Amino acid sequence: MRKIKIIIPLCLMLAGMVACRKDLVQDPTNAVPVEQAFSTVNDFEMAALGVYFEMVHSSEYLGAQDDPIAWMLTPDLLADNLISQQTGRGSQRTFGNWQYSASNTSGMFADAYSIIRAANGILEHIDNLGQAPERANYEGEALAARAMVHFDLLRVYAKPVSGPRADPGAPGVPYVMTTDLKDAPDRGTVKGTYDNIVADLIKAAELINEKNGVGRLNKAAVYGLLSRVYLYGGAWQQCIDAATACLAVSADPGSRTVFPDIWKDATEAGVIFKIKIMSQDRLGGQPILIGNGYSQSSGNEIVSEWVVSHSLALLYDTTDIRTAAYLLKTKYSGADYIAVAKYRGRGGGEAANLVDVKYLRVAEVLLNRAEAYAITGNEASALGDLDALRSNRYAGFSAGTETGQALKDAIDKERRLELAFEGDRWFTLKRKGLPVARDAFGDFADGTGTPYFVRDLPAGDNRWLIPIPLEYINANPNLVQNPGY
Amino acid sequence: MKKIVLTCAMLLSLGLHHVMAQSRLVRGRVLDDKGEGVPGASIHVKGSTAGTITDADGNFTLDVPNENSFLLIQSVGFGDKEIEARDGAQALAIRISSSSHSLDEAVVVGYGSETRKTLIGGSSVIKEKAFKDVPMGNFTNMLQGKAPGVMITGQNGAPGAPAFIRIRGVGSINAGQGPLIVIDGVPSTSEAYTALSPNDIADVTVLKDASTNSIYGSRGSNGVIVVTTRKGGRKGSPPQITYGFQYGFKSKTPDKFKMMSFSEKLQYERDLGYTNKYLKPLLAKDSLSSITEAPDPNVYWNQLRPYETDWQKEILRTGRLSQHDIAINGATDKFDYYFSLQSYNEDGISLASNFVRRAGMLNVDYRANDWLKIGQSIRVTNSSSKDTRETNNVQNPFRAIYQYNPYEAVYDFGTSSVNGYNRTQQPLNIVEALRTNPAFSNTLYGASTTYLELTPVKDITLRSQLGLQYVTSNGESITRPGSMLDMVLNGTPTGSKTDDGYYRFNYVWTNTVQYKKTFAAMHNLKLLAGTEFTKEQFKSYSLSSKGYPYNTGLTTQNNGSSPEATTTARESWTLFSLFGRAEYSYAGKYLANFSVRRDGSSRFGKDNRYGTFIAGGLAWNLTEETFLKSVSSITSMKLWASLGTSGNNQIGNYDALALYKSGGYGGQTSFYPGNIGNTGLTWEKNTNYSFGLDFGFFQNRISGTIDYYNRYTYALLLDRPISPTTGYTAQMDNVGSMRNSGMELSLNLDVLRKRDFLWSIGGNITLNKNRIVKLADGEAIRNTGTANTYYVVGKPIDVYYLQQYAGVDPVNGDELWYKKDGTTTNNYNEADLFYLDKTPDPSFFGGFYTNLSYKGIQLGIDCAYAGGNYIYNQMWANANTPKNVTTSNMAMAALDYWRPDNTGASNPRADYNQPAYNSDRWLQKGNFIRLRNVTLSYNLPVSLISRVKMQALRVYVQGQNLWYSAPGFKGDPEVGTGAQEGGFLRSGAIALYSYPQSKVITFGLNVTF
Repeated sequence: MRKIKIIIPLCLMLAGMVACRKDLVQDPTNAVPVEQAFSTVNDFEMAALGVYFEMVHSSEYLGAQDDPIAWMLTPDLLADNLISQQTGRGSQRTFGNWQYSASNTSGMFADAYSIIRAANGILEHIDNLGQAPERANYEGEALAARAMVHFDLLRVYAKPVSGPRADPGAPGVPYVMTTDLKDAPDRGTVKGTYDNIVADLIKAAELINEKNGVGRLNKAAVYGLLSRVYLYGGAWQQCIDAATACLAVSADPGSRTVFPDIWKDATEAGVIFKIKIMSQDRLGGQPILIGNGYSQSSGNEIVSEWVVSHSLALLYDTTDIRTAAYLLKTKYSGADYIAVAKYRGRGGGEAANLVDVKYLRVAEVLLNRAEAYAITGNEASALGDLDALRSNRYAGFSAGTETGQALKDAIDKERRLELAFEGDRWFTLKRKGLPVARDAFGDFADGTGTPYFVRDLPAGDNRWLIPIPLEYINANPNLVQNPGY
Repeated sequence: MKKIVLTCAMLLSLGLHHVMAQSRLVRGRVLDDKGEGVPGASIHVKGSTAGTITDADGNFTLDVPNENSFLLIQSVGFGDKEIEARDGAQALAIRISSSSHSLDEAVVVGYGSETRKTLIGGSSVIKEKAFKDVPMGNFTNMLQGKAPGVMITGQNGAPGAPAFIRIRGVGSINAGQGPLIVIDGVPSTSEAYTALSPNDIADVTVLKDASTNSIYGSRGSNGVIVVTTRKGGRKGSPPQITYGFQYGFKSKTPDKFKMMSFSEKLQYERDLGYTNKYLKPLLAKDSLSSITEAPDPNVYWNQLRPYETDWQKEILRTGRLSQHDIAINGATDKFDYYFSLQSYNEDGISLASNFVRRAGMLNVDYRANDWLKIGQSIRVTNSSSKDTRETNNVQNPFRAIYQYNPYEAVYDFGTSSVNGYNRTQQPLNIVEALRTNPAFSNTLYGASTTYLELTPVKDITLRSQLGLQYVTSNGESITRPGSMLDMVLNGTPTGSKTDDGYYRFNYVWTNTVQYKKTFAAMHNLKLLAGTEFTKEQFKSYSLSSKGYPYNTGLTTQNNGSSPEATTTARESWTLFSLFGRAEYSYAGKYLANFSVRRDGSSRFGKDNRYGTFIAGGLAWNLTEETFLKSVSSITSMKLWASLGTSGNNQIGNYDALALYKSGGYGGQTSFYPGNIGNTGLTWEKNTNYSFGLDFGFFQNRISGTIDYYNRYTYALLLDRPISPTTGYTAQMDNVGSMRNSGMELSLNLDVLRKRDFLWSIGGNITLNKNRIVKLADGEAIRNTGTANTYYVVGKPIDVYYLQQYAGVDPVNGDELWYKKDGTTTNNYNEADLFYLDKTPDPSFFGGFYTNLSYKGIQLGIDCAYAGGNYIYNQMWANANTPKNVTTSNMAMAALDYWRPDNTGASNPRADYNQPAYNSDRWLQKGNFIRLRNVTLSYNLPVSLISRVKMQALRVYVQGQNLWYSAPGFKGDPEVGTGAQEGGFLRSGAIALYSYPQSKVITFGLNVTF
């Protein structure tokens, strides 16, 4: 008996001592350590898709609804394409009224760099693939994504590369090519950032596949992006060449027949690169509904945050297919509005406002080349590109005859009409060194109602540069704030 | 159901009454600490109706039945005493001691227990009474104001919601700030706080200093709360059956938000040039587009008059609270048992809000022989609740009560109605939403503790204990097809449903050996050694689908036509510990202890898993010294000091690992950089020293404690900001340090100790000073959990960093802010930000009480107070910012805005195109005092109730949160978290429409058989 009294507790204690040491290693079940994430071709495939996952989940950039910067909304409301519906929730009026400050601004900065990190992760480990045939494509995709996001940062936070307000020596945005957590770069210069973007895109164009699908970056997308970047850089011939290389792969801007389906994601016509958003995707537990920043259903009505400015609505001709595809007549509490139809969703039982981010379309590349042709004096080619687009938009269109300034104006007008509500307008005005000059109309469909709170932003005003959040500057003192904040 | 329980209880109690047999006469005298007779003490034979009271000299005689040989002696102001009634001519001399701070009172500490006299360190014991029948759903809230050094703030006022507990200040920045809670020797999961029926608590000990909490090693740095549940009682106690019932009403505590009336809001809108959506169609009939164009606005306003609504009335209600408890306890020589059942129902103050708890518990200890003891404790609780949406948007009813306009109807409003409800300007209707979008959850919590205790040889006790905790929690959230929210989300009537929940299994296996011996009657030695292993597994899921039929009963996932997001997660953590403690005392005069613990945790970097924590303490019982023994006015006096270390491991399970996580893109699996990781991550450490004095004078008529503490936390687990160009904005690292120091004082005074009349008062105060000593790179760091507080070296944790409001420009009505040079500006971008010496944490807090009893009548009053803190009142800012005129009702205070004819106004020019400007204009002082509890009760005389076979019958009425005063703050000052959507989980930093606190009045009774 006495033995039992001793043995039982001793056994228990001993068991307690030895059983547990190896249990101190507890590995996660839904994640892998970085060092195991890049071993096989399939790992790289998933890491490449991870770059787009980061894009979808950038809550103040590409996947955003109404938080600044929602890529498909904010640049239009910063400019003159949209006006705040007075009976909406008042979202983003801080941006619409140019009232942002260093402590009340967009967090797009950090969101963008998390995408860049995903791309750099692939590039740093690319040698793990050895000479595998898939290597070039993954490297190209990562380079292209890195350049694309840096370019958007440059457009938002820095001064123009070219044009009357160009300031190539002014601070750019840090061009990050490492995943080193100790890296705290300065902003470099506008020109320096621009050169890095161009270099990455040129290299990517050589490496990337032609057929990755429009849900991923591909050869046409890289050339298309290059044409955009060169246009901002004032490198007209390079812009033309890049656009030509892009259009050689993908030249169809989408016919009048299929055009409305682009915005329901029912066709891929005219789309070069889009960020796919699925109904099961979640951001902060919520579905990702990029159209929420524009309008939401309310009972049988639609209540909008931002509606089409009256002067822009007047520019759409009745023969223009975009009138129906872009503009949506709504009635809310007895008043008529013209809302934006592009982001109302796919229909067919999917959530309202759930739709892909159409990031780059053939139409833009045509317009990029047309603009570059026009500036370089090749008016025939410019008109050819413009008509290639217009013939697919206007019913009964007969070839244009514009020349000189009228041709340039026609290209600008078509750019505004075609790319409205796709995050282009603000950057186009900024690139050209133009002011924002809003109309005096109100928010109602007939132009009455409550007008803009502020109408004019002079060219060169400090508010053309969005402030970098204060806390980011505190975390990296090498970042300098934009002037005036 | 309740009736059945009650009937069973009655039957049981009747069956247990014994037939009176032979009896014998017992004589005795009841004496106090000084040996003087205690008059009026009641003497009871346990398990029988026989009883008497002592005479003026404390003498009594009593007929005692043979089978029942235990006497229970009770007297106001003294602790209960049980003794065996012995035969014989010799009178019993029964000493009872004063109830406050009785020196022999047991104090449960880590892996053992002490008495008041042998305890080193400033632990506070909170007795059963503080938890008994308090009309709140969670015992953590009941600790408010009860013990020095313990700051309690309700997370919000939702039924059953827990409290934030901060012991001796906020001790960490990014790791957990709450204490470890140990229930009956088992470190508990957070669900246990809600699951535990407060009536099952025997007492709670708060371990605050190093000598007591260091034995908990890596989890002791924020203090330890040790909860002991009720047991059977002293040996030989016959079964005692108690039944309690209470019923009451609850309502929102009043606030100082005076909102605009129907006419005021409409006039204000017109003055600002805003025309609301109800007026637009009315004006359109007369070809007008704006109310400012109307020659007589009353023509249109009057048409809205029929729709005038008091939204508070529509959304809020008087909640009801009811509670039933039944408990049976008793003990024989070998067997000790406590059994209880509870049913607690609390309806919230809003529609669609309630909390229901059903709990059962059994504690059993069995002493098989002189060397073997085994025991088992089982607690199983089911809690269910209907929940309102804790968001900062239109789905939150507690935002709606302030924001819906008084001219907006609840129901049909012509064109803008949906399903018979008016859509409102928000644009949703919360009354409709609460009915059509129900959310509810159900949590099952089971805890089992099994132990084996062996005494193989004299003085050595070995104990092996296994604590198991099992939790399943399921939530459901429904959006009915065609409801307003459904139309917002889906555009067409679709309906959606989300099921989410989790499973948690936690086991703790503890083995200890204790050696206890007294040498030469002077040297007392106690040694303890042990091991402990903890493992927790956690799994969670979330399923949602869309496309539901209109039938409200069909809500399972397979009723949905299209599945949406499906996620599951699985996590685990482990902790392995070795610990030891040595205690020595010399003749009860000099006490010393020393403890050591070594912990290994799965949460830290591979080479940094282990940490060792040591502590020691000394105490000196002055009253044991001969020079004080003769001073009769000093009853007790003890000086103590302690020093030691402890740690904090309350971080994410995988924070040390750099990980690629998986997520879907375009329906395919992808991997993205999801966790920054830090292989060097290790314990947050804490060095804590404190000293104090415990005293009692005049037979403890005056007693109290004074403590000083100094807690230095270093190697802080801090989210150190890094350049956002890395793709991350912060990395957790062991950097920086922080100090909390302060004084604690508690004092109890028995003003009157008369035969029938006792009056005591007491209270406590804590003064805490928190300073951040060091941070990474010396930079200020923003707290992402509050939006406007920062961590700054040399300042308290979380100082507000804001623009400073400089009033209104009397010339043009512009809002002005200060610049660094002291001048003012009307350009918000030029306004400088200032680190204000203001924080969300109180610098002083505590509570006070008074208890009066006269014969059977007792009155207890408890107050709690706190102050020195500041709260960013976002609710008040929203109610006063003209921008919100378009969607929300506003405060009457907003009417006093600058106009050319009102240049001295308190608010700037009202322009609804101006954005909302954050500044210290909305920072308000949080000082408050609150009448926490008032209870008036009456114990019916034993002589009366013994005829109906009862031992005691108590009836009471009580009020909780009946009154408060918070002169500097708009709203209820007990601010926990803001609505969760904003992620503002920092206690007290922002007032943002969280579930309001409530005022409760209940009536109840307790019967003992």
